[in-house]
Amino acid sequence: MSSHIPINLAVEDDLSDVVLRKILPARYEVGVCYNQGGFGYLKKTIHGFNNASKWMPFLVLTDLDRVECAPKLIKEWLPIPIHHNLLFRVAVREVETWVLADRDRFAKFVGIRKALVPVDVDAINDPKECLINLANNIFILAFPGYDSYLTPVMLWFLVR
Amino acid sequence: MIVSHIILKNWRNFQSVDVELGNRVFLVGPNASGKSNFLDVFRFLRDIAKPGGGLQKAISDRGGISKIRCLAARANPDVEMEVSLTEAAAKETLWKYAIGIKQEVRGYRNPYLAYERVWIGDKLILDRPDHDDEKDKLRLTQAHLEQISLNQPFREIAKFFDSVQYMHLIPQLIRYPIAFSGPTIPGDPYGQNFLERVAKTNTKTRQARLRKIEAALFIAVPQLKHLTDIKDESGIPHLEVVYEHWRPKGARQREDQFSDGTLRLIGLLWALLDGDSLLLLEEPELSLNAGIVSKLPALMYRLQQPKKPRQRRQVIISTHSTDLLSDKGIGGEEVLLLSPSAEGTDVTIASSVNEIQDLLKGGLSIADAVLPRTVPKNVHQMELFK
Repeated sequence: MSSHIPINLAVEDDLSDVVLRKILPARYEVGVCYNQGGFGYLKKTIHGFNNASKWMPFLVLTDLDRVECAPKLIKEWLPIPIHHNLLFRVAVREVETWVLADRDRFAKFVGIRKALVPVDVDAINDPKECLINLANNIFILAFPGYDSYLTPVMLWFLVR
Repeated sequence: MIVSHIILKNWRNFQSVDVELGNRVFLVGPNASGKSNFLDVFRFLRDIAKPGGGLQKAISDRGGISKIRCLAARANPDVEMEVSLTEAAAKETLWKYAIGIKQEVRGYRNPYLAYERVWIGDKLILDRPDHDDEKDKLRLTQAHLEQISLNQPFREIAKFFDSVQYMHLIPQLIRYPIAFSGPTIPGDPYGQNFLERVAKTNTKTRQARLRKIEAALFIAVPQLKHLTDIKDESGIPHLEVVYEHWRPKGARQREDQFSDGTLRLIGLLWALLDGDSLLLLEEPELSLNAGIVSKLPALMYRLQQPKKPRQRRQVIISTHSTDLLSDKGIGGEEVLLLSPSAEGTDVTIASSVNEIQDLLKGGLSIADAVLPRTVPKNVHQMELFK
């Protein structure tokens, strides 16, 4: 018998899907990934996942976005008791933050200096925009001041 | 009558299938999982029962027994099928027809009957091979179902199979009739002779149906008005609509100017209005606007309205469409989930999967609860294709 633990995912977008698969240890085997786009879908269907998690664990990942804090979002979405097999996780602010937090590999992947990647990623208000801007680093370097996420380190690189 | 239960062994993708069917069945599954092959069972039975058909022709039209036998068939390689017919869903079985097909081990390797059985209710009324078959093996190359002189006690089954309809209208075949002239496929599954069939329908029925289609078409394409059928100088039938534009009178357009969606919708509605026997629909969502597709299940349900009391028409639909399956009126018991494996495709009723059942209870639609299961595992790799 396989020693893998089957688990289902429910996510907002493809990036969350990929990130979760990367994070999950090898002993987990992803069964079905429910990904129909957007947090509206997740919010609407979370009761279903809670229901169904008595048969198989579900890992739900959503972005916190503009909500104040994760517990508040969870309470709001699922005011009823959460089944212990439903792992409801919230990325602060967005799952893009998690990608940025892996500064080494992110910098290497998009081909920029590690120092250009912000350190305090949780403080970034719009991580998606930040990520896109960093990936388009040519523009940032070509038009200094364009980016609103200039950290002191980045600034030092630009004015050096 | 409807097919209430089906058992398959070694039929194409399916090594073993045993499922109940209702008035409306949706087949969902990944590509090449066997949705069309499942529909083909009913076409196969029709091909045996129809005039000019027969067992041998039905098999040879499909390229021989090796093409219809499941690749996973090993120890017992017979192709077998059994269907139960009832008056309506959840009623007692009226008829049961079962057939097993073998292949000669040597010589021409022709297909022949391993058995053919018919039940009225629970009573077995035909059980072949019988005494005569033992004496003359050649008899086993034909089914009693295909022979009027022998199928009299169960003529109703033959009639039912013969009336099965399959519709998968391909707009290009209608739009470019000259390019696709030549012998048509028996039963005209792709609508090559669609216009002829419309023209051959009795005038009153035809006009009534076209009026109904026109009303639906007007909702989908508001510029279109007055759907009529006409014959040109050489007697070839056409469909004609008035396309409204800036000129006060509008322009007359024939089917060669219709859009793919218009033609598909006309074909679909015609098929739904035509007859009251089992209808097989292959991806009815093709070419249609998402908004219209989402209303198709409700529309089908209305058009399935019984002509005789308590006899709703049975429709079996294969689909990939999220919009179509988002209709909350579709129950888990109406959906067959096809999941391929090395041992052939498994067919499960969606509501029999506990997890799906609870997702549906939690307010998810079939599209949300079932379709993610049909997505290939490594679908992300598609975008990295070089």
